[in-house]
Amino acid sequence: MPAAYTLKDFTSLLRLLAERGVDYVVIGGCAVGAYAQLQGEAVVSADLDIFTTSSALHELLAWAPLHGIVVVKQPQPRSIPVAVLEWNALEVNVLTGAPGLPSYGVVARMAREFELKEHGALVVPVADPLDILANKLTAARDKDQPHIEILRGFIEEEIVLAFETQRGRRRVMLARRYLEVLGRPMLAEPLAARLLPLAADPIDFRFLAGRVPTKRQALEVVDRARARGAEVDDIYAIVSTRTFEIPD
Amino acid sequence: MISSDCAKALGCMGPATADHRLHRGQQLVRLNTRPCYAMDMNPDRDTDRRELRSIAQREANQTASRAGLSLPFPNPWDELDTTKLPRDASAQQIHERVRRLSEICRKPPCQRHTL
Repeated sequence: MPAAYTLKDFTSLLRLLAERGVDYVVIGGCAVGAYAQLQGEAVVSADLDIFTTSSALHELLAWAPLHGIVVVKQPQPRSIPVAVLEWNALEVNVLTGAPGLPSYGVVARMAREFELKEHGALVVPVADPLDILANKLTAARDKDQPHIEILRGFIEEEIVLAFETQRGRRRVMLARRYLEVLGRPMLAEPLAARLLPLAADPIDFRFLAGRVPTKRQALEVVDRARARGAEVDDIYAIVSTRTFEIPD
Repeated sequence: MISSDCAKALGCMGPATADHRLHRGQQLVRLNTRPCYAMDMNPDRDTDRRELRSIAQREANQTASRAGLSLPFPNPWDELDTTKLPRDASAQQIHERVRRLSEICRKPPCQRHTL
């Protein structure tokens, strides 16, 4: 049975990196595990994957052996840019590029902070769930499928929360990015059904009118917009010129 | 409704046709925005005239610059970016500018979760 770890198993190493000032973001299974834990689910990983810049990686490779970290594999030309480290018999993969992931600068800017309360409030940067999802969808390995489901569940809850609590463009921003990452033009029917009763702003109506998967739901958007006193001509123009994934 | 000749003279699209409505709908779906014909954004429209205007404005700017006068067609972004430096700025000035710019364009707060 493969070894199974969570982010918390790597706390001492992450603290060392933080003290050293290494720029990194956690990606991979441990990152998915962190988001899973927020949903009350458990996801474990065989190793820790961290994403960094090429210059930080070179610095790390020089610094690691001095701190009891074994460099098992150096990144090789013309292969996946990854260095494999071993720390306290745990495997740590340090990547400077991964399929589907944007550049390090983008990932770091979008990253979230996870505070590990029981470990001296250590703050660990973890890649945004949409970036991890993009990576997992591009890699498309069998073992990633449960991770994809976890991430989609987490993101969809946040999309619903944004419709409930945010104002203006922020209401639909996450949903729009989610569709971009999935490469889909329309929302899945269950998610659309959850968002419809929350639609309140003109931006919600325009977004949903173009992205609900059924004509019935699209007409519901128009009705709801009319009931809320919004201008329905634009919304009807969207509905009348688009196609639908699911025939009514 | 305006005639197509009149529309041409006014520089607008004229009466909406079925095609226009279709394109408008598609634009709304694609951009998730309110309708905007955005005629001035069309790269195929008046390209020659716009190019000549740009060249003339640039030349006027260069002439004014050589004469030590203020630019007749300044870059509108310069007014917004109060940290802009002259071309011969020192390293110290550039460093100070980056610091001031990072205060103006502050990184949005990071979302934080607790485990």
